[in-house]
Amino acid sequence: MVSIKPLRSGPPGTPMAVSLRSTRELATGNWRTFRPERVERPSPCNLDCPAGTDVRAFLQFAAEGDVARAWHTIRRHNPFPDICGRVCYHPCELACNRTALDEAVNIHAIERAIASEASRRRIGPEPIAAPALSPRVGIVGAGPAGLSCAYHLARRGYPVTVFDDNVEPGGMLRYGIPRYRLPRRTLDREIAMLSRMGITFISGAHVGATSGAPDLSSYAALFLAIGAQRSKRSRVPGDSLRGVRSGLDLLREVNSGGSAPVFGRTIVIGGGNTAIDAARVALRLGADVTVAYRRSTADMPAHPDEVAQAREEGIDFVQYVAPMKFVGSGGRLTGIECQRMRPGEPDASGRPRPEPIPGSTFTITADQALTAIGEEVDVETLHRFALSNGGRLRADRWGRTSRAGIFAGGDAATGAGTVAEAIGSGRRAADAIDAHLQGRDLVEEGTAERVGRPDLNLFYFAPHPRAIPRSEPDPRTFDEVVAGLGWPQAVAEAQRCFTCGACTACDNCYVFCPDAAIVPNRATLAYEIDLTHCKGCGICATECPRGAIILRPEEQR
Amino acid sequence: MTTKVLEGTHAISWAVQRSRAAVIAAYPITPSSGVVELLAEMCADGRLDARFVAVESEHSALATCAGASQTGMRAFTATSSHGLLYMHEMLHWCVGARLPIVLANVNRAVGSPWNIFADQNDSLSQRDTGWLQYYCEDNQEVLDTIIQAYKVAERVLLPAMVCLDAFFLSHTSEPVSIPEPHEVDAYLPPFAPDYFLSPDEPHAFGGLSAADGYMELRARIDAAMRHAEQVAEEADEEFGRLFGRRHPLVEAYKTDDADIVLVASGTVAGTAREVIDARRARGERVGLVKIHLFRPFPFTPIRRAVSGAKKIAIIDRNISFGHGGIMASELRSAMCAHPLAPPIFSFIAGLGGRDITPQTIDDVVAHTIQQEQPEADTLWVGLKE
Repeated sequence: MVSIKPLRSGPPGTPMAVSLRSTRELATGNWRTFRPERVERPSPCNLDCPAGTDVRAFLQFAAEGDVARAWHTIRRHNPFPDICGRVCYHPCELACNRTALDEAVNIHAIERAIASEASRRRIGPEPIAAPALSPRVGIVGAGPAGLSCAYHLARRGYPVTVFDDNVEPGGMLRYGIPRYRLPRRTLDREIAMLSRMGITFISGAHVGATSGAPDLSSYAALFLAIGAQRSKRSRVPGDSLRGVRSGLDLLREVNSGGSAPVFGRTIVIGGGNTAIDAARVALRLGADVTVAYRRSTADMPAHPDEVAQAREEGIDFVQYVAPMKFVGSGGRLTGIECQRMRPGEPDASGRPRPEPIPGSTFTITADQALTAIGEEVDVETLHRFALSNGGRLRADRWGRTSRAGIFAGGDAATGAGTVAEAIGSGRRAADAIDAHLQGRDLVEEGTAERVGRPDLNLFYFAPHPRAIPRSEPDPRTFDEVVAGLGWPQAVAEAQRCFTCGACTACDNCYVFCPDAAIVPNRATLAYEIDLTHCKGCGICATECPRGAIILRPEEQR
Repeated sequence: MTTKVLEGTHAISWAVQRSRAAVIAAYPITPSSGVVELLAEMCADGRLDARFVAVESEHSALATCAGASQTGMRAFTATSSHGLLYMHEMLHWCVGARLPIVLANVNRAVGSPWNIFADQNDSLSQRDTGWLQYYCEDNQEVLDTIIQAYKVAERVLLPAMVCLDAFFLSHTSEPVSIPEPHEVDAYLPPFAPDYFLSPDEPHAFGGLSAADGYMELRARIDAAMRHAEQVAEEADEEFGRLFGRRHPLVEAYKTDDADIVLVASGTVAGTAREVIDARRARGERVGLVKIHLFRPFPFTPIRRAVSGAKKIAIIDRNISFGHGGIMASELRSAMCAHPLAPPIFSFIAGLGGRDITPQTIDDVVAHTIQQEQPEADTLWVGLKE
């Protein structure tokens, strides 16, 4: 018979439903159909850095305030953080996933602050660990590609000699980029560090010259990084008039310490970075400057920040205007006959092809014209090595040419036209030269998929505005126009980084795992997943803010 | 002992601070918001070493407290009215999981229509969830009861709700004595449950318990709830010894020789004392019984307190539609086996914050004296014609 009684005290047992033995005994892992995996995936900034810098890593060190490790991390790939922090067009920031929340991390300003703080604290470079090697490597061209290649080879112990036909090393860094963007002391300081590594610089050596060219036969390998130093001819009638010159000539002259006569109404023709540099230099020399471009201002290849700064400084922009003829009197430029253009169908670049508007010619009064419609390689050097390919040196991604032991890179080979591309090209060539000299195969770079916005969990990030250094440019001087961030500001800005694709020991997986199947080790970041208990629910992957845990289907049993 | 002039909401905050709650999760709702506003400040400025969790709903607030309590942390939340109702599912869960959370509920009317004023229907409609329920008369009682509630809840492993009237207490300032931290520490030991969730030694809590075990678990809850009355009595006794203040579960005020006993709870009891005093001054034999602990329902003390009365009047600031005053129905169930079975006059008054003045109460007493028997089970006070 069933018991029927009043309740005097509770029936024996635990107050609540609880397993008395540890649930560790339950091998719930065999319920799993998906397996979480901790992964390190490339961040967009790392993948999109043409120099190959480990941006994510240096930002992490900066966020911790560890300037030495941040600086050394950059310099593992790039000898010029102080230069690049100023002149690189930072495609890393365009790629930055933080734009999904607010604004990209100000990576270039942090890079610059790291270099500046490292210098202020007199932090030395990492010692070269490699033993001294004997094969000598010759490098032609002391621009960013050649210097980068020299640096990376010197780090590996090779004796390196860099030839350049200019007085001082730096290439376009020195003779192309204006001082207001890259102060000479910054350039000199970072190049001097290369000299201190034992790299030999030979100036005034014109490798392509028909007579008096240096003897390169004693070098076990050569790297050709001669750049694209020549301004393209405009092919506009009348370009031999006095008052018409290339923007690059002006830059070179001013950067060499010359006093270029620039005055009156100056028209810059072109829309690239050289055009903007020439325009801003002319402005500083006292000219009244207008930039004329045959497409829309928005379609200019120049970096939008540069265009915006130029506009702020008082430079005028006219769009959809193409020069037809330079007109003058007494051999001197007085005006430019122009044609109005309009946007047509998109061309290969995806931008609308400019089409002339019939019957729309007009003349602009001009005292000076600066042409800046692109740069090309000095063909004589190309001829000497017989490696020409449509005006460039023919080489693969690693800089390997059709001739063993001869490598080529930088603008002369890639046509990329940016400092960071040149640095990356020089670094890859150093790898290839090392592999060639040591008889090793090159290790191809990984093709892991980048961490995208859907891989992130933005819930764990609070909006915080991007730090922007205060600048008050004075367009009458060559003083630097863009200010830097102070070190504490840079550290705070680095803390905005999501660290896409890499564990930061945030503990979310550990906190959220319902099976206590995450075994954390915060010191080593070795967060193991206990697969005996992990049921494959995927919460860890979902709650990982930075896409460092992925779920893979278990193989069918 | 420090004395401060405190609103009811802040009396709660100070009690929670002195009780060293470790996790506070709350969602703001008038009139309870001030409770957690001060607690948030205390967490921010270090006066309270607790994790303050801002959540997106009351359901999450109590779920957060449940999670914290499950790991052995002392947890607290405060709410009112719709907020409490939104917690309804979690109220049940906390009881079944035996989590001794303390919740301050500022009694407020329930919509529709919107009304933010005093009314007990919010918490009384949660009567059967298994939470201990205290109703308070003044801000000192609020502060003392929160501290006592932790002691009782953690002894019997059941959550406790401390209720106070909207605005009449929550937003009214009174001098309140705040015991010193070490005094409260001596009274309230750290929360140290036998069973708690820890990754170091994982146990499964609240897993499926079908018909073979569920009923025994429910019986243990009922046993614990019944035992809680004695534990609460002892907790108040000890509190009285240490702090010199008592808050009897059922207070009998001038009832010894009373022919008419008025039963009330919350701030109505405070007002009623004046009426009783005035009538006593005129030589009338009237008394007051205040219900402080409502769950577990203290049958024996209630019966004892009203045992000599010829008639009982009870005022409810709540209504169970189709039945009557909720406290009246509890009282009737306590009295049904009473040998004398005095008539019980059940009055509904003050819903939605309508004032219950000394005059209202005096009229209720007068009515009870005049009538032999109540003309109906439920009598509405002051309805507009």
